[in-house]
Amino acid sequence: MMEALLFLVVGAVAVAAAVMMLLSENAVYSALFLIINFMCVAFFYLMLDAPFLMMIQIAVYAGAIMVLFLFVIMLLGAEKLGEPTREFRWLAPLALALSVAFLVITGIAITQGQIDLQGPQTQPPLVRVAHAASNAGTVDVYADGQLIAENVVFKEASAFVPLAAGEHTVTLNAAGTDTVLLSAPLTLENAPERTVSAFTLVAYGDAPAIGLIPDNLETTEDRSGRLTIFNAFDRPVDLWDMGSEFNPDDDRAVTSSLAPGASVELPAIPENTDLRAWRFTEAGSKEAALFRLNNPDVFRIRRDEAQVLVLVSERVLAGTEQDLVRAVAVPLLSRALPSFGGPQAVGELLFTRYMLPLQLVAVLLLVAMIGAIVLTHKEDFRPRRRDVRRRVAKPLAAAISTQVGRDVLQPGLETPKLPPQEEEQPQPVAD
Amino acid sequence: MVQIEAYVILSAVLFILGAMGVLLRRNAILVFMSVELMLNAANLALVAFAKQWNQMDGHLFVFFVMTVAAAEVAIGLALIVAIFRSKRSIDIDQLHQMEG
Amino acid sequence: MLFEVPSLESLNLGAALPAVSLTFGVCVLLLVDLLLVPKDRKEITAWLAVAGVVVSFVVNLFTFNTHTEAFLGMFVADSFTGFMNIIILLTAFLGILLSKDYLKRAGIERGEYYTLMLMSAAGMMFMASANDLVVVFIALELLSIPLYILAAFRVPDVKSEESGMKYFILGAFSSAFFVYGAALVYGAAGTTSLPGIFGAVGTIVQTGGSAAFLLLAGAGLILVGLGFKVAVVPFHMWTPDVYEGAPTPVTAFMSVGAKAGGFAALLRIMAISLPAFTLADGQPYAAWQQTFWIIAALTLILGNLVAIAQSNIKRMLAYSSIAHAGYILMAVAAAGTTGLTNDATRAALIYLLAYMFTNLGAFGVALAVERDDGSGTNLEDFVGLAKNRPGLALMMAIFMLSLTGIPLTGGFIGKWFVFKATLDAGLVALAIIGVLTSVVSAFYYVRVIVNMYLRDGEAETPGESRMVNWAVYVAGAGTLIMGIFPFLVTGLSDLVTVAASVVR
Repeated sequence: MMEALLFLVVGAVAVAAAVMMLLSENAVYSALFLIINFMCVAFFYLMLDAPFLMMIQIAVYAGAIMVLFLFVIMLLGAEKLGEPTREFRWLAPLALALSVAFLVITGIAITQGQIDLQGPQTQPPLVRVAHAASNAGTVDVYADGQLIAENVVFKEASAFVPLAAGEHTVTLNAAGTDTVLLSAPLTLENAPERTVSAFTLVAYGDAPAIGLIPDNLETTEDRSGRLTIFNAFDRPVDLWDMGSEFNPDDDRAVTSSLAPGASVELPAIPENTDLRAWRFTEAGSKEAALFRLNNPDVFRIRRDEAQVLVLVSERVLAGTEQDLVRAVAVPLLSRALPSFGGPQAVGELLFTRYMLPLQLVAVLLLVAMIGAIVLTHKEDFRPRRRDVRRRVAKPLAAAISTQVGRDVLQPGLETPKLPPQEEEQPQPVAD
Repeated sequence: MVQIEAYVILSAVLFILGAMGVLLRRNAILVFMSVELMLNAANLALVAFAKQWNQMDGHLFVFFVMTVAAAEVAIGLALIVAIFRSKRSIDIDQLHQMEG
Repeated sequence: MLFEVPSLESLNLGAALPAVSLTFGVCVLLLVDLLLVPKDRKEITAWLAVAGVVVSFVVNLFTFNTHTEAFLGMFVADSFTGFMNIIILLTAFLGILLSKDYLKRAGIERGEYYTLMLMSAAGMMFMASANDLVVVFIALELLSIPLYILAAFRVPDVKSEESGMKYFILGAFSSAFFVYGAALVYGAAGTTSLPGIFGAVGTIVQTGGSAAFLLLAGAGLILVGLGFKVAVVPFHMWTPDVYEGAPTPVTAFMSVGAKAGGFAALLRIMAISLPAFTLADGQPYAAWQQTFWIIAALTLILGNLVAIAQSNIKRMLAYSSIAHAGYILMAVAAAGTTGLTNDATRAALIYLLAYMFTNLGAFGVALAVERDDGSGTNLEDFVGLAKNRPGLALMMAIFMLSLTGIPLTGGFIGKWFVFKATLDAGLVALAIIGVLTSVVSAFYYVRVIVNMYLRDGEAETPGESRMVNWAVYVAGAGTLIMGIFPFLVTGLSDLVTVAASVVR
C-alpha cells in the first residue's frame, strides 16, 4: 500500500517534470526539470532492487551529464530560446497523433503481454556432489544417465551444476567405467520465488549412501559466513566448542547427537572466526574426541562464504594390520551469491560475461574524446612562422609600452607615441 | 506491491514525452535533452523487466546505455558548440544551408 | 574468495581476431599519429591505416569459415561475419584511398580522420558478429559516433557542421528507439542474447503466449531504430542533407558502411533470432514479414521517384542509396519465409557487395569532379567528361549501369538474387514493384551517362589524383568481375549459413 502510494506520487512528479522540461522557455529551467526527472527515476531504481544503478544514475546522469549540459547552456548564453518557428507547425498535431498511437500500441502490448505471468523465471536448483565415501575411489556421477560430475575424488566436491526440479535417479560410477557403485532416487524442489536453491549431494558410508544437504547460497548477513555440519561418519557425533580461551569450563555443545547422514545449519557466524577450539566427539561422550579443528587456515569462517563441514571416516593404512578408521572433518566451500543489483554482482558480470561490451564501451569513450577535441579545437592548418611571431611579440611589447608610457623596444629613445598601426590588433593569421 | 506493468507504462509515457520533445522543440540543446529523457525511459523499462525476470542482464544493459549516453553527450555538445561558433544560433530550423 | 575471471582461452580471441586486431591497430595508430607523424606528412597515417585494414583482411581470410563463439557467447564468428567483414574492410580500404588527397585540398588533413574512419569500420565488424542485443547496441554506437564526427569534419564549413548535427540528432533519436525496443524484447524473452531470444520465441509461439505482443512491439521499435541507420522510408529524411553536407569521401564511406552495418544487425536480429516468430503456430512466414514488405515497397517507390528530380550528384546518389536500401530490404523480407532464410541472407550479402563496389566507385568519380571548395557537384558538371577524361567517364558509365542493374555488371547479379529470393518467398507484388522501380531508376542513372557522352562541354576534374583513380578502377574492376564471373561470389556466399536455421 505504502509502496503503491510512493509509486503514484513519485511517478506523478516524474511525468510533471518531463512535461515542464518540454514546455519551459528557458533552457536552464529545462535542464533542472530534467534533473528532477532523473532523480525520480533513480528512486524507482531503488524500488526495483537496483541500488547500484540508482547510485550511478544520480552520480553520472543527474550529476556529471546534466552539469555538462548546464555548463554548455551558460557558456553559449543560450538559455533564452527563440520563439517557435512558424514552419513545421504541422508537425505538432502529427507528433501528437503518432505519440498517442505509440502509447496505445505499447500500452496494449504491455498489458496484454501479461508480464506477471511469464516470470520470474524460477532458476533451476543447483547441485554439487561431495565425495565422502572412503572406499569408493574416484567416481563419476550421473543424474538420469546425464553426467553431472566427473572424476570426483575422495574428500572433494564438484562444481555446482543446474538440474531441473523433480524426480531424478542418481548413479555413482567408478570413474571412467560402467561399474555402478550406487543408484538412488533424488527429489529436488524449486526454490521459492526470486531465490536460488542449491543442494550438496554427499556420498558417504562403506556401502555408499546419498545424503542431501540444502545449501544456502543467499547473501549472508553483513560480515558473516555460514556453516553447515554434515555427519558422514559411521556413528552419531557431538560438536563441542571450548571457546577461544580453551577454558574447559566454557565448553558448550554446538550440536549434539548428530546422526549419520544428518545435517544441521548453524546460525550466522561473524567473519574471521577460527574454529580451532572446536572438536567432534562421539555422541554422549565429552571426552572421546574424534577430530579437533585445530588448523586455523583451513577451518575459518570467511565473509560471504557458505561452508559445509563434512565429518568423514577415512581409512588409514588400508589393508595392513593397523587398518583403522578415523574421523576427518572436510570443509567444502561455496561462495554466497552476491546480492541482486548490488555493485558486486554488477562488477562480477562486467568482468565475466560482459567483457566484450565493456571493452567496446571503453573504445567508444575514446572515440568520443577524440571527437570532442576534433570538433571544437580550432587548428590552423597552414601555420606561417613569421606571422605567429608577429602576432605574439608585437602586441605584448605594445601593451607593455602603453602601460609604461614609452616604447620598451627602443629603451634609449624617448618616443611618447607609438605608430597607430602598432596599436591595432593584428589580423588573424588564417587567410 | 506495485506491478511491473505500472513501471513499464510509466516508462512508455516518459519515452513519448521525450519523443515529442525531439519532434516539437527547435532548440538543439532541448532536443538533445529530450533524447536523454527517452534513453532514461528505456532504462526504467529495462530495470523493471530485470526485476521481473530476476536476473541482472537488464541492469548491465542500463549500465552500458548510461555509458553510451555519456559519450553521445560529449559529441553532441561539442557539435553544438562548433555550430554556435560559426552561426550564433542553435535553432535547428535554421539549419538550412541545404534545401531539403 | 574472488569470482573466477575468465581465462584467455575461454574468451576465444582467435575467432574474433579480425575485428579485435583492427580495433587494437586503430588504438596504436592514434598514438603513432599523435606522437610520431609530423603535421605536414599525414599521408603516412593514411598508409598505416591501409596497412591496418590489410592485416585485418588477411586475418579474416583465415577465420572466414569458423563457426564458433567468442567472448563467452557475446560474439559469434561464422561465415556471415566473414562475408560481412570482407565488405566492410573493402569499404574502409576504398574510403581511405578516396580520402587522402581530398583532405589535403579541402584543407582538413588531420590524422584523427583515419582513426575515426577505422573505428567506425571496427564498429561495423562487431555489429556483423554481435550475438547479443547489448553488443548490437554498443557496436551501433561505435559505428555511428565516428560518422557524426566525420560528417562535421570540414570544420569551419557550416554545411558540414550542420550535416553532422542533423545526423547526430536523428542518430541519437533512433538509438533511443533501438534501446526501448531492446527493452521490450528483453521483457518478452527474458534474455538479450540472440540465440536465447530464438529459443524463447519458440516457447512463446508454441504456448501461444501473450508475450508475443510485447515481442512484436519490441521488434517494431528495433526496426525503427535500425531503419534510421540504413535509411529506409519513412526514416530517410536525414539522408540527402547529410550526404550532401558531409565531405564527399565520408559520404561514400557512410553510404556503404553504415548500411552494411545496419543490415548486418537487421539480418542477425530478424533472420537469425526471430525467424520463427509467427503469430500462429505453423504459419509459414514470420510475423514481421508484412511490415518489411510494406516498408521495402515504400522505400523503392519514394527513393527512385525523388531521385529523378535531383540536380546534385550527391543528393541523387543519396536518394539512390535509399532506393538500394529498399532492394536489400526485399531480401530481408524474404528471409522471413520458413526455409528461405539462408538463400535470402545470401542474396542480401551479394547485393551489398555489388552495391559497395558500385557506389564507392560512383562517389569516387563525383569526388574527382568536385572542386576544392566543395562546389561542382551538380549533374551539369559532368557534361563533356567523356572527352576530357575518357577513363573516368567510362567507369562512371559502368557504375551507373550497375546501379540500374544492367547485365554483365555486379548490380545485375545482386538484383537477380534478390528478386529470385523474393519470388521464392511468394512476394510476387514486391518483386514486380522492384522490377518497375528499377526501370524508373534507369532514367536518372542514364541521364548522367547522357551528360558525359552526348552533350558538349568542358568538364574539369580538379579532384583527380592517382589515389582516387586507383580507387575508382578497383571499384570498376570489382563491379565488372562480379558481373562477368558471378560464380566467384556465389561460391563464396554459398558458404554462408545462418546459425539459427540449423536449429529450425
